[in-house]
Amino acid sequence: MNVHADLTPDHKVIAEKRGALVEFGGVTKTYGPVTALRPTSLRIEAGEFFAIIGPSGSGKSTLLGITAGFIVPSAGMIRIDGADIVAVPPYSRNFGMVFQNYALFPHMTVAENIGFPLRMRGVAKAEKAERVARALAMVRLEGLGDRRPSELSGGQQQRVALARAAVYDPLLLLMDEPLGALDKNLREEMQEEIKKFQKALGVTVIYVTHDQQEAAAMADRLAIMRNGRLEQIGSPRELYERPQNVFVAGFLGEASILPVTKTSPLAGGFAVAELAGGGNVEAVASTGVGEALCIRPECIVVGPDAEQTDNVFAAQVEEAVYANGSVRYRLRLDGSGHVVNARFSTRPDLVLMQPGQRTKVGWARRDGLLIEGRPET
Amino acid sequence: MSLAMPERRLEKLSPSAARHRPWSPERGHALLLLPPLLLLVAFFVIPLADVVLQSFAGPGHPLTQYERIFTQSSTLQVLLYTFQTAATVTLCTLVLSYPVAFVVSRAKGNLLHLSLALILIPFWTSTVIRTYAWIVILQRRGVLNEMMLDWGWIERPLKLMSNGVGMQIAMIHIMLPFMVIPLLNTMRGIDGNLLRAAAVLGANPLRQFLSVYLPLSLPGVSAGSILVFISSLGFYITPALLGGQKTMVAVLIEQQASRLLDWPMASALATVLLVVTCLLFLLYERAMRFARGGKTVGEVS
Repeated sequence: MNVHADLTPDHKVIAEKRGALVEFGGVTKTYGPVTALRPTSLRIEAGEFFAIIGPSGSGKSTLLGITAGFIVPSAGMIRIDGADIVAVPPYSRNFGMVFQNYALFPHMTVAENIGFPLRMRGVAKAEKAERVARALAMVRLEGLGDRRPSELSGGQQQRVALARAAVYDPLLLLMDEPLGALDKNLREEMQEEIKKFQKALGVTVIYVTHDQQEAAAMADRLAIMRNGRLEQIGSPRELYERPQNVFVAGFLGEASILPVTKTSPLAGGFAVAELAGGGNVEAVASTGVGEALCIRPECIVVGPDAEQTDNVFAAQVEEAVYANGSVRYRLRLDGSGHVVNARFSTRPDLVLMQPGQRTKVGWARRDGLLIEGRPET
Repeated sequence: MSLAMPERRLEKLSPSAARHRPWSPERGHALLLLPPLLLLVAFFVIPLADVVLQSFAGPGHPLTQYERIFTQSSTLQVLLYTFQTAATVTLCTLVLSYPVAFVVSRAKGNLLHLSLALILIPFWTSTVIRTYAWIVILQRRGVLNEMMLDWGWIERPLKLMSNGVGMQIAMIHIMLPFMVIPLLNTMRGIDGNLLRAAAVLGANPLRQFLSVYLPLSLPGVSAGSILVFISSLGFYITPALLGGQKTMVAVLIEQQASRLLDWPMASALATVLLVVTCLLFLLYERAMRFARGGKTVGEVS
């Protein structure tokens, strides 16, 4: 505990096992004429697993770098449990961080790597050894303490990085694409492990990734970034089911996004919209005036059942792709010529449609969302 | 996920592409090595063997020359002075080169090209010319002394030529690129994230340097140091022109061979220099292999 106080003279840390409340107030970063991060305000609750996703150059790494202290913001403040830390150098912030390529020190053994933050804090030898051993056990790497990082597999290195970032009980754990270098199976395994780890420690996590599936699987809430600004913040389900604009809808999972021209409101939060190229649809007027219609693929009904839905179109199958118990159809609507994608699970007795086949397509009006932005064509 | 896939695939491809080079000496092309090999044997290996053999010739028992070297205080002093000079030059070169290499290793674009050019242009200039330039600067009524006299910094011209100081300055100058380039090579390979990681983990800039950067730059330090040290041991032109009263071993060899015509002694001295150099290099290789856990150093020469 004294150790923490020594390291962070600017703000006293209550060293119990719980996460920090993180608040960003108007945090901005500009490099000359280039804006890397527009004024960003955000509140991350104590103990929350918060993911930031976005394409490269969206500003997510800038935001993380500012939080860690590598990048000095041009304006704004960051508060940890109420105390502004912008002026605190990274080595006094007492955060944990896991890097994309782990950034393990190649000239140190695994135990020395994990013990490094304790050494920097002047922890006595015996206590250090004990805490390193406990951290090794926590990530199931007992007995590997004397190895060099280069002798470990990618997944093991990842776990060492995790142990090193958590061995000094930080209140905030920053993760910069920590699973980016692992293959798919290992990645899913590690997702679960990191999640368990975070629950056990109660630490607040800010997790940056460009993998939307990973973020949705792990995070309590996520923020989607583009061009240096936050597009939308919410739970994974909120963002998937209620995207506010075309970018969010397209970034998170699959969606059919069709351009609409005129909308007129109906009762109960619905609206009727005219599809560009002809045809009317009824949909949820979620953000007021929308220029695009978004439908998730699992909401689209194909075949005779489509007749029962609110928006029915005749269509032609353009493509049918089967993968592991589900089928995806690409369908072109008659008249307007727009393409919609449908996906549903199959059973062994189900006969799949073939490209060129004619069918009916439809969806319920509560499943169509009128959102902001123009669809890319 | 889909965004990063192509990049990662490229990264994976390139090392294997390098491994499947179309040309390799193992595939029956070994004959191509023959001409340089013949040249080396005829003009290097045979003469060298001759030198070693000559060192055992001459009057008295075969080891007479070696006995002379290690019993005469004058030759022992020359050897000692040579090692001292080489050590001083190596240390000074390292101290001067480390910050330069650090800054250049962080540079990008035009600044990087410019600084590399500034390091390499002197490297391509003849040692003789650079040594003469130093004579012009350092001699009794040279540029440096004249300037300091004019500014009133000194009353009388400083002696820089006869006491070995000028020689060491010139040698340091000539050796700088040999130190900077291996250092640069190693430093450019140090992942910047490691320093960031050290910072987040609680290391202040000094401790980041001492516990992470310095140990990781040691291969470059030792490669550059051994290169400079060995080159300095055998340095001839600069000590011959700038050395003053004290001589380096290479100058002594030349005196023995061409002025005193004592070929056995010259050969023995040359053999001692050669053996010491080889021993140092072996020691260095051992140390590097130990430090790297069995892998060889490579890349630097």
